[in-house]
Amino acid sequence: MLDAPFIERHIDIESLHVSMSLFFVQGILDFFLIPNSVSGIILSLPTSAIGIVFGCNGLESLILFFSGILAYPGIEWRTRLYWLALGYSVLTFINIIRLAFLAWVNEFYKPWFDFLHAYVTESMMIFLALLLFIYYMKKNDHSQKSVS
Amino acid sequence: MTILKNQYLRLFITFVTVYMCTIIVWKQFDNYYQRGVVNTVCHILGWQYDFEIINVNLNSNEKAFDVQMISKFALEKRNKEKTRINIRNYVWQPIAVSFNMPISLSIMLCIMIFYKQFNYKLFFKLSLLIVSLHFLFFYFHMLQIFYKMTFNNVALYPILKSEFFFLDKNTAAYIRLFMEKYVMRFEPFLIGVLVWWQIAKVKETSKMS
Repeated sequence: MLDAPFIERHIDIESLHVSMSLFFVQGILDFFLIPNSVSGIILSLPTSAIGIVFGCNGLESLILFFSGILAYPGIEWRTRLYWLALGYSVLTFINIIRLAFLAWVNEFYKPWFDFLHAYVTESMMIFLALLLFIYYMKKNDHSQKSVS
Repeated sequence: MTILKNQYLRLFITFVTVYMCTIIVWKQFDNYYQRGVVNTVCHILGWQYDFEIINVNLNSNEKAFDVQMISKFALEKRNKEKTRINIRNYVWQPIAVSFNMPISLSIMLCIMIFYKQFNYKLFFKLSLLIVSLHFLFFYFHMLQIFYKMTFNNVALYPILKSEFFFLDKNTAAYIRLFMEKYVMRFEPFLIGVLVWWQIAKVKETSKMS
């Protein structure tokens, strides 16, 4: 849906999300006095740059979480909307920290970048989305409440 | 410690511990696993399209595979003479595919350890599913490259052994993209939900009854 041309023509969700994330990532890097600049989806530091493409922008874990919330049966729509907003905030916040961390690693500890990028941070995002979804399922599981 | 009474935090700590162990072990096998998958897929493609495999090897920098295949028969479109098609230098970063193996294994192990209920049958069934997905992904990825270098070649066309397996190149590209962008990335999450459902839910329901 995100890539569907008729949606992209009206509202480019991916670009909006990336721009917003990069704005906050810049804020974190500025806070630690690390010089940086943004051009489109590219975040440049003095000697390195990272591109925020699909898979790095956190939309993947958001889609997973959103699909889980919407697919899980027997939940009121108001509760679902609340959890969608909560999930978006939590996962986007964590992803912003992740991006800032990866930009820092790429600048100062380059040999570690590939490993941390491909294995550690991406996996953490998926697991956190799963953990949040498990929390959601347990919180809203009416069948268990009625048994107890 | 009160903070450790939070089961989600404990689950997270269990996951981090299991993940660190899994990744250390997995890094020792990763290259062999990738080599095995790519080699098998190349041989399946070779058998399917009548190509001879010359070489399938991981490059010295271990970031790409050097695949060399040669067609047994192909026709030159201009003068209809028999010739051969040579496919060489297919580059791939192996890390992009196998990243989901340690995370999926860790999620399964972490939930099983956390709830102290090890379901061997489920573990092996799901591990097999991940391996099959890797095979399928590599297959469609290689197929796309293969099409680019054979059927899209304006001067030549290969003589197929059988057209039974022939897949439209757009379909192959779409499946490859869908697998890379979605299936490979969503798979650990779905496996996690399934394992949690099978183990935690069953345990909690039995506790209540």
